[in-house]
Amino acid sequence: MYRLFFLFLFISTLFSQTNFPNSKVQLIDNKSINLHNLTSEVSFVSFWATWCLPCLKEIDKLNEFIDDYENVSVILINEDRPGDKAKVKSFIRSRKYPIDDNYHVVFDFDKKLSRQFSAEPIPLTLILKDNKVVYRKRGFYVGDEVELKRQLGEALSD
Amino acid sequence: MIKKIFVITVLFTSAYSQVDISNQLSARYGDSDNDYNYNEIYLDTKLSLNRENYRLESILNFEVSDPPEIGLNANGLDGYLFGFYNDKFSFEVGDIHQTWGRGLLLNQLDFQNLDFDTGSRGLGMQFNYEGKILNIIMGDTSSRKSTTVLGNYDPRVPNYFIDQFIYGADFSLDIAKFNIGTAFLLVDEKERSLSHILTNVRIDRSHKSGEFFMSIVNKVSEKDSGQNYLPPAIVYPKKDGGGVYLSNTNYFKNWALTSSYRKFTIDVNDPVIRYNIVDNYSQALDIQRSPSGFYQHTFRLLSRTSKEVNLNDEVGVEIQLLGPINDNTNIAVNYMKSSSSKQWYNGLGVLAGDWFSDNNSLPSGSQDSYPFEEIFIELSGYSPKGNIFYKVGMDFQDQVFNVLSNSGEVKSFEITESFTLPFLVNVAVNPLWNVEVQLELQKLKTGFDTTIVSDVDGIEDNYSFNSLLSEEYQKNLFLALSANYNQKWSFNLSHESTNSDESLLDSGQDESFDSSNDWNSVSLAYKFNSDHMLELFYGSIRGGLDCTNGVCRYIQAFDDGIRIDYSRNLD
Repeated sequence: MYRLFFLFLFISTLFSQTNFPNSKVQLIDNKSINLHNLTSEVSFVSFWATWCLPCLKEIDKLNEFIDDYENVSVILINEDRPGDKAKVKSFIRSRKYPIDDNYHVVFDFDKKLSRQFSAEPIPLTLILKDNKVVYRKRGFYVGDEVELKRQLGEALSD
Repeated sequence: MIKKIFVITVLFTSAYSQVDISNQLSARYGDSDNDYNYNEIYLDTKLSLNRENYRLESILNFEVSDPPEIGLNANGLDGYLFGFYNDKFSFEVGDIHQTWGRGLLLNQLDFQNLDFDTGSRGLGMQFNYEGKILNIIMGDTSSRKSTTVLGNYDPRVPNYFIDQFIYGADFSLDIAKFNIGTAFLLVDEKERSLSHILTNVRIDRSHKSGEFFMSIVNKVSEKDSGQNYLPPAIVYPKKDGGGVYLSNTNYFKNWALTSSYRKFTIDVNDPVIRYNIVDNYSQALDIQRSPSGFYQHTFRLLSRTSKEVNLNDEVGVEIQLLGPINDNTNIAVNYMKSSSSKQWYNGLGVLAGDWFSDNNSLPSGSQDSYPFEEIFIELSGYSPKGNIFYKVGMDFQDQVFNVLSNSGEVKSFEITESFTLPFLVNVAVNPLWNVEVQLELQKLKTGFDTTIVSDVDGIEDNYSFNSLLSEEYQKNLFLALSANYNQKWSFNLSHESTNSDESLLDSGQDESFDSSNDWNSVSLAYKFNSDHMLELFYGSIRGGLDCTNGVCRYIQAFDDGIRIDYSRNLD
């Protein structure tokens, strides 16, 4: 079994790359949409939940600087329970998350996206360039936003 | 055979470089004085082929563990999923996890830290056409638990296994401004000769100033009495249960007020057999989850007093107010009250075992109906400069979780009362240093409230309280300090203590029982890059309830040992 395990690890590491899938997701207004309709040339994606403190700190910091990046779309993938849908919507409203054409919150109730990106433990942050993952980060400490801004800048200038 | 197919698939697809491959590796090791030892490696591999009109995907989960932190040993492929997805149709084979509506009928979860996986090994399909969605599922579901009802109880190793075959469908569509859904699910369980039929209707209305949701579920359980020709033949009655959940949210500028009502009566039983998960054949299934009904606490001590919603027998209300006090501060006020859907009376004394009941359509405060009440207020926000984040709360809880006797002569209830003050502050000292302090104080009372009723005029009832702890009130303290340097190094210290030991809770049969009064630990973590981390831990962690997204499980204490956690993304 170990041989199979390491063979897998070796082969898959050699060929690793990740495209962001064009999955159908549900927005907070209950509409269904494909993920690629939400992304732009450069996109910021974060897996989060209302009970995850580092996630909230990351989003708060993101909201402080994201206006400076007009061409970057934001997709916050919510990992709360399906039964907490009303609470998530209330939370977003009370925190004044700037939902608009470039800033989206989507639900991942069946955890399909979470499983695909091994998102646990959250937060998991992705920066996409042309729907390809160019940066991946787990966890958040205040101060990490400096690196996030740098990565966004690099993705935009490439 | 399946292993060969996987290897060939990987080799073939990699060679042609058409496929995205993504890997996450994690390894965990633990060794403690109380034999809380584990050794486990996980590898999650995802392969996906993205085309303009469709996507093919596979997810493979490997686990090598001997023993794992919780659950059973594993050595090889632990889970897999193959899927085909396009705009209007998806087809999956393998370990399927689906959620229908908000989960009252089907909500399949996978929490590795609790060894809780209610996915089905089989196939799932989804048809999606202009807002009309049809989900189909068919497969085997295996769940496992540790229960004290059976003899060989171990908090880390399951001793009770349930294998079920499930199949069903869920359909939802938009009509006018409503989303309406309906579902059915058939569940067969060979081991206990059981079959369940579940049906659900729901309605969802979202609008600019709020939202409304209602879901109704019905469950019919039948147990085959078998070919028992010898008297006395056991005849198991067909059991019919159900539940209703209502939720309404209104927005007022940036404030939101959510109120919900639930009444679940899937398997109502008297206090003697209420918690017997083995013999009660018509209980709610593990694949069912209630929409909210509790607050998801993030603080350590509050997490241990969390309450799970009881789908079998509960009526409850919940009110939550959320909003910003000013630009930097948010407040959340939560009120929850619930009770059993019946009020129980032990008319003829405990030994006679006859219980009578009255219905509750609203949550009752009477001790005879397992009341639970919680008020939680939380303030969170930032300093004007934005470099200090804080979160402070106040929580009151009051619960009766066992009715032992309620006769005319003796009334005895097992109760818990707690008052908790949690506080957290995080300071970004400068661009390199980040410091966090978390302090939680809790006063907790748990034990038996007993009243001997006097039937003699002039003599008052005799009231007594017998604590399950060595003191009447347990005072708990949790303190954690952490410092992060340059987003690379993390140093954590934690201290937890209590004034009273819990030895009275020890029946003497549980070898893993922890009778300590304080638990200290230190850990150091290093991030090699943004998703590559190593953490070393030394010390003790107090055991207790661990809740993840509404699923709770008792976790054994970790006594004076080391832990090593390593995780790496291999993209």
